[in-house]
Amino acid sequence: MYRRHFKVLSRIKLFVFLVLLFAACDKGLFPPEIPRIALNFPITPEGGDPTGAWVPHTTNPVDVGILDEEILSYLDSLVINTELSGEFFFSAAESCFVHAFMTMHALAYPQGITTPITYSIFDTIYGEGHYQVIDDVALHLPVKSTNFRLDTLGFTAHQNDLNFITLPNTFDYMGIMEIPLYFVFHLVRSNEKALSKTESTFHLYHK
Amino acid sequence: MRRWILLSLSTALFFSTAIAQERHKGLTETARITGQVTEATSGKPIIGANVLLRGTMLGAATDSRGRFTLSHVPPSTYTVRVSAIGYKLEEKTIRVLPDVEIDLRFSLKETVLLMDGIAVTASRYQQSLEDIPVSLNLVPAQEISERNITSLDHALRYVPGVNALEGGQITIRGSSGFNFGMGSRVLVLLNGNPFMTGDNWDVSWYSIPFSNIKQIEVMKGSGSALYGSSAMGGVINIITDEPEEGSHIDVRTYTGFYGRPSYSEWRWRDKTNHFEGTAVDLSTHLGPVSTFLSSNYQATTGYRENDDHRIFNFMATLGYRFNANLRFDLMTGYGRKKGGFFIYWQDLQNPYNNGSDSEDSHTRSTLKNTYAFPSISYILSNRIFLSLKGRFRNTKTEDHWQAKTEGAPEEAEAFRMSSVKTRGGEVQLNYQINAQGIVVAGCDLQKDKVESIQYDTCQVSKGSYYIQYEQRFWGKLKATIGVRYDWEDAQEISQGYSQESTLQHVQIDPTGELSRKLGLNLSPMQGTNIRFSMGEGFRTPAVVERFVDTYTSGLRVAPNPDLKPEKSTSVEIGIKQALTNSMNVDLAVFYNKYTNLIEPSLASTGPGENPIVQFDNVSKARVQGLDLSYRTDWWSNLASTRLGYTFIDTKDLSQGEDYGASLKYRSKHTLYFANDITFNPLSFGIDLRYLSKIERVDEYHKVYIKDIEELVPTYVVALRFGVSWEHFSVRLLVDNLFQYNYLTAPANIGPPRTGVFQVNMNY
Repeated sequence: MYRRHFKVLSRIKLFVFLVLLFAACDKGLFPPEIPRIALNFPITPEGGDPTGAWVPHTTNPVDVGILDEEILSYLDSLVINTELSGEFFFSAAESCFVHAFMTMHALAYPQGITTPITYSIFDTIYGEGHYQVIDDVALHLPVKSTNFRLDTLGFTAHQNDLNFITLPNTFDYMGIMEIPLYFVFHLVRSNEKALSKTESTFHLYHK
Repeated sequence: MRRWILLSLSTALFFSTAIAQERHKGLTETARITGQVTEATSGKPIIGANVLLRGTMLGAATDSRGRFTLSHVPPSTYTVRVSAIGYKLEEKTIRVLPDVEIDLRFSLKETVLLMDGIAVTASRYQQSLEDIPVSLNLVPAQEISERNITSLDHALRYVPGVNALEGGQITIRGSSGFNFGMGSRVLVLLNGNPFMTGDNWDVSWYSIPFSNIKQIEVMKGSGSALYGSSAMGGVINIITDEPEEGSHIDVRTYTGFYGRPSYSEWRWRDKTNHFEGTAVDLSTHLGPVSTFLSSNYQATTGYRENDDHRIFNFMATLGYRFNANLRFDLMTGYGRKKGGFFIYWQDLQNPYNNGSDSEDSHTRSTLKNTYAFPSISYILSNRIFLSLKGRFRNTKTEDHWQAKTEGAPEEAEAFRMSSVKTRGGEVQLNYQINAQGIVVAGCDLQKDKVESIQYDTCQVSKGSYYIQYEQRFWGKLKATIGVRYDWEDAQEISQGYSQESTLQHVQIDPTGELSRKLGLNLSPMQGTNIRFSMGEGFRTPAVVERFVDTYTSGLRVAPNPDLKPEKSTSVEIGIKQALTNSMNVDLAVFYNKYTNLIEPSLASTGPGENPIVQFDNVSKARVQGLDLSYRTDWWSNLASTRLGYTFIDTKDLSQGEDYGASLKYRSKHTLYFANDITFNPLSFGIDLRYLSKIERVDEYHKVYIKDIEELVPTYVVALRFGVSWEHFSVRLLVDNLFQYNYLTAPANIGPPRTGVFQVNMNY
């Protein structure tokens, strides 16, 4: 009787051992690979250490660049006003918290026309979680943004400033034309006063 | 209604006549039986052993000295049965003469035979497991303590055929899929009192202290013939312990840490996630009075975003024994859970981040539960036992927004709120009609009043009558037959929440359900037990399923007052076999059929309109399979091995494209393994849980939950190590030893490797 007892027991133990072995080898769920995208920034990012809490620069938080020279040739002038508020936090453990709001108001005077064309963009950039440094010069962020793809940014980090360069984005103007542009976010290390909204106005183009 | 009143009066008249006759007989010449129960090997007293005069309602439990007393025993010949978990039951036949005191001695031998336990759930009175015609598993208090169980639903994760999902949802033999805990198809009782919330029909696990649990009884299969609505998949009865003689204090404290997620991409927080808790129990049992006070505090950061919470619960019991046959008990308690609300993940790239929160706000949830269960137990004679129970319960759930910026306060106004007042009572009478036969009959009334933002005010009134007859033949065969009739009257008094609602004072036609059961139990020889059972079950729609009127993830969830009750029929054949004195096996084959299953589904409202979500009677299904449990003790009980395996084969029988497919959110194979080695004062244990990958997920969930189709099997290995002295014990536990990334429910990643340090003291 006891021989049968131990025979059953040993088979159970063997089975459980195999399950344990399998459990030790298998890791279950794993994160999906981030699709590899071509990093083609309009300005060359230099990389650096983005760790810390960052807020928009008080006088010039966002620069906007238009990549199609031909579009600019149709305009007499283009005035762009940008605002950026919020905060960007990056930890050494590669976790981040990004919560920012950007507005862009464009005022364009086509050649020979005195009535300007206006266009506004509002974008919320929000995310929390793990960030990844790609090729030492770009960041993949867990952010959601409303209008533009801002989850992959080139960066140049110095002691007290951090600049983000976006990949070229295209925005559709009334279905007539697509305008390729990019943004450069200028951030400074956070201090108590810097969390307020900052804005800048600049003539991007003027004949 | 008139018919009900007449039926009630005639039933009451019948029982009162029988009671009067028996009472008259019982008060004439009687005797007294006393005795002591000890361990055969050590001679130490066994506390809490059950002493029963077979064929009567008379019984007692042993005190801290192992002693028991049975008073007012009428003269006759009796078989005294003594049983305790972990010991082989013993019987003695005695002849009782008028005005004589008999003193008995019982020495019980240790055993692992599972059939030597005592359970109350199967027939609403204490029975040995060997007499029960259905599959019933016991979770003893020791297991709860050894595994540092902090929520009682987790204690059920090691019961064969049972799966405890995220959100406290329990499924037995594949009875439910995944519905965020709502509309449970398993009925949960606390000392026989239903512990389901009146709105969502889920279980308030957070408000049940776990320190004075005697055992958890898990009855599998449809049990509505005794318990009514919701007992489709089975019944779970949490039994609390009576305080030991004298005064005692018990303190348990623990602290634990969650490991870091396996992949750096998944790390959502720099700090270490942790949890801790303390429970203090005070008990007194002096003469006829017993009191028990338990307070328990738990706090956790959670291992996921917005999953932190704090739990406080308090329980007080008072017992007063007027005499050997009359006893009053009051159990009252309060529980509160406050914290985050994690429903499903963001996606597989961010599985520890909350996907159900809005972009800039977290949902913070507060749950409260207050309850009082008074009861009177009266042994009217050696043949009649009467039990009166009351139930008073208030539950409240509130959800508030809280901005995600650090230090932001919760918004004062709740965006979701539901409160329920439950009032009810039950009368049960057990009548021993002959030495081998017993009738159990009773009636139950309950009223739930639900007030909610989502569906304003609803009232549900329900009542039932039940009767069951058990008869033993030739000492080896026991037959059970039972029937129960339930009726329900539900109405929504005022208008729903959403602008589109057209509901105003909806009166649902009263529904009536008849449930029947049949059971056979045969013990052809010692160590062999064959059982057969057939039962019916049903579940009336929960208030939330019938009247909810809200928005979730941008979709409108619309009410459906026309919902019908779900129904089930289950058939089971099982055998328990002792292979040696220290090894037994239990095998059960079951077949369950379900109709009118209520599920959320997407419904079209017209061309060009957004679809709405509505609960509907959409499917019928069958679930068949087998349960296998094996237990052995070896090396003179120094070590034990337990194994439980369940196989289920499910099939959707609804007409349409899903016909023949397997049911959603069910694992085909589940395996539990536990191995314990005790070498006093040291103990060591290893647990393994395996659940095969679920095969199907809900189309409706795919609409708003990202990566819900990312599924894996579950392999969780846990280690336990403990040192115990007489009044002091220390335990160290490691759960998910191999850091396996599994799912506790679809789109809910399980905890990473977890370490716990636990200290217990008692005096």
